[in-house]
Amino acid sequence: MVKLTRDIRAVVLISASSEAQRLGDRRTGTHHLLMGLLSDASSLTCQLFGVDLETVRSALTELDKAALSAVGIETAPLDRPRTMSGRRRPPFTSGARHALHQAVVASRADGSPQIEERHLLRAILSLERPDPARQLLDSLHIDLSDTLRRLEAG
Amino acid sequence: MVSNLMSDDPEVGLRAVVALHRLAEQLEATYVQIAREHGWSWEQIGDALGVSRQSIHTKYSRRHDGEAH
Repeated sequence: MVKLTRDIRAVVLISASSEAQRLGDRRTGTHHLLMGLLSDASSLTCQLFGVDLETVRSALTELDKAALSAVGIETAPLDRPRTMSGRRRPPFTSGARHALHQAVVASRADGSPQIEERHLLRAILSLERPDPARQLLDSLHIDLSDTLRRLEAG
Repeated sequence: MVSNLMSDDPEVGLRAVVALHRLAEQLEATYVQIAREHGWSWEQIGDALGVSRQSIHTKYSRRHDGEAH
């Protein structure tokens, strides 16, 4: 069984799925994992990207608004989503499961006994379009190869 | 139908579908709460939404203790 550090468990199992629930999404995807990594303002991910969770939430709202507009629907998503939280946690998408698996692979390559934040971050940074986390990172104009370089250097 | 739309990019179109779903869920959550505040029963809310009383009650009845969750 995969061992997760306490920090990453909080990210993966709590913050990411809470973000999915907050938005009213049926599944927890890679973009929710990314937002989970940003949920703690002092996290490595926040430092490397130089953005906080609110900035990323706004970027997602803007992407949604632009997509709706592109199909002829002129309505803004709600600024302050209010959705149910008593429901069970949304299951992971296949993309999110794959990213978690890649985090396991990265931890093994490091010879690390546990999955740490940097392993999941490395997996997220290597995602390709049309992955939703990648779309979000691109919309924030984040230089992925530079971030990866700084991650490996740190 | 696509000819009436402005984009033929699936990344954009599928995101629009997700965005509509999000919007629907967020509107539902907002108005279910308002309906409750107006004294509507779970059965009345379920009927208005075209779903069972049970499913709407299960979905929202515990949300008051989880707002900041």
